[in-house]
Amino acid sequence: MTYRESQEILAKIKSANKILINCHQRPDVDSISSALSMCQALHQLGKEVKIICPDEKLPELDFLECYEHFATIDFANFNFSDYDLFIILDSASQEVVTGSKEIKLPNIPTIVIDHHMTNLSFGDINLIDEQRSAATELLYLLFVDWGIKITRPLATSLLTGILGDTGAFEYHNTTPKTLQIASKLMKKGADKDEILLKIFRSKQLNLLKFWGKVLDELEVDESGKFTWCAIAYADYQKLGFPQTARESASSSFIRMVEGTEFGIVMLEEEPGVLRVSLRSRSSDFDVSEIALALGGGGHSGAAGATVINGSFEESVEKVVDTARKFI
Amino acid sequence: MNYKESKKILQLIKQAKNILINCHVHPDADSVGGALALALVIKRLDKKVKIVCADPIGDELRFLTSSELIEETDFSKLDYEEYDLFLALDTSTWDRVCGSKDLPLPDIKIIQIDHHKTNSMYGQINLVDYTKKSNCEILYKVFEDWQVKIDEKLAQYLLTGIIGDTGSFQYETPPETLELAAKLMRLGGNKEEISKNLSRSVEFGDIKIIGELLRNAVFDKKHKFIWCAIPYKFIKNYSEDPKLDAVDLLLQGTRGATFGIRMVEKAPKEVSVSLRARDDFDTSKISVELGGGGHPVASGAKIVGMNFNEVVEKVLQTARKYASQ
Repeated sequence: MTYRESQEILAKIKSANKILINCHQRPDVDSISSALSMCQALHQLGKEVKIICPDEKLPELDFLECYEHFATIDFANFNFSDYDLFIILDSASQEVVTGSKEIKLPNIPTIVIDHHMTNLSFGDINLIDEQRSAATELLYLLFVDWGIKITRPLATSLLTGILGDTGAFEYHNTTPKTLQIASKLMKKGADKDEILLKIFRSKQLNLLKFWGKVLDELEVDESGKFTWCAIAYADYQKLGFPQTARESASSSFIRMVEGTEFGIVMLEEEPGVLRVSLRSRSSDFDVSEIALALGGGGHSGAAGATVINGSFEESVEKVVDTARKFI
Repeated sequence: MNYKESKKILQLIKQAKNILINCHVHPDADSVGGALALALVIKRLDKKVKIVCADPIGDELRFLTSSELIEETDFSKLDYEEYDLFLALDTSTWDRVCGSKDLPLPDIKIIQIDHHKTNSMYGQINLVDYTKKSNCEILYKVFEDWQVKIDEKLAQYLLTGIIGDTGSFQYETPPETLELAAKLMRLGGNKEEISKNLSRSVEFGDIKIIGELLRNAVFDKKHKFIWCAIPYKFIKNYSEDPKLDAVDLLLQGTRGATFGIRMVEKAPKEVSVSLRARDDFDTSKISVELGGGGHPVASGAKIVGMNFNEVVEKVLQTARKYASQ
């Protein structure tokens, strides 16, 4: 038994009939993969399941089982009374669940399962394991505790999440256990190379152009310790709002520059709303502290925040100044 | 026993006194990691050992302990008489050992350990296992046969080779390789240090060149490929020797494309062309017609003596010919 919470969570699920699972706002590969994996496990247990999210799903994940159970909803107006349990995955705070600070969680029992160090443990039951590279890695261990059969589709969705959150085993959250679990999932039939083609080699050209813009604007701070760039809304609009623009740019280039400790990508995703992604180049530097200081959160290697209430220039300056305090 | 040759190889090493090990031309992580690992094991048997290489070791591999002991060597002047055994690693032909097509096989006993399918079997013993994705995996299996204890240093060398040759597990990698990597991490291999040095050490000037390449990328929708090209007059402001491999991963990653082409004029009238397939398209045909070569998934050519714009036109025409077939 990996987790002492496993049986308590399983008992709660068994006593429920209609269950909700969430994907966090602007869901990434691990968020969607973990929701689809949980959906498959709950189907094995004979439950009726719906996956809800304040934002749209990623089209490149349509090869995963349970994809059709995903629904984009407005949390303020959704009727939760039909459901008797809400399983919240890969979400560090209630805000990223509902998509807004103003919208509270529904008044039904909640189970929070997550791998973010900054998780606020806001559920009735909380299973947090920040040692795991991905929520799907955690779910694999939980499913083994539950005796769930790891079918080929389930192995595929679990491995997809792990590949997503580890950048195909490149980021420093990859542990020996991650590789071992991945190996087991491959033996259960998950096709790593096919998944990589679907999730990493299916970019739109406008995304490449966006990266070009990011690199063009990229600066090394005068301290030499970090790279940063900021893209204004008008430029984002001109490039056609490519999906995963900020996340993908931050996970690849900005953490590649020799001699730096971390990198920051700032993108004005809506007028006046500056979203910030931070990525450390090596495991020695913890970017989540900077994110926390900016009102956000995340992992030591990858964190983020949203800065509002200022002009573009003011917000950018605030982020760069904050980052300098931590070097 | 993983390999029937293991015992004999160990016996010959024990009989020898002064041993040569090589890294192949343009040595990569698998070549350097493997040579350092085997040299360490042999040193612990109280033998003298020297690692030779026709080319210098890249800066990205200098983080490996003892990498400074690898000697850049002119093989035409190498005095083999001092040595009684040559261990050739990860090198499919003798000219990729010595860096020249004109040097004959030397008069010394050669043992090969390699994973290339195209190996020409030039040794007296040829342990060639092309089912392995890296030569360091074979070395691990050989060390197992020899009952060598894998300590932190050896684990780091071997893991470096595995990560290098699998593109950090992104190329086709069987589950067994992931398990071995996990084992090496537990034995002290530092994956993070390896990844940082191999894939997160781009020069800032190169970042700017990559940015320009991406901003100028064109999608030829009719022929389903992405291409980008950059002239020397831009390059020269940022770098003398740009390393732009990172772009290839992006060009081959575009939805709807079957392959990507990058053209970079590295010196006046000297354009290097690099092609990458997204799945099963064979790019090597295009490269061969342009005077180069390579694998179906990754190939390239160097075109010298033509104006930049002419090269771009020629490459695109050639690519379209094969793309539309």
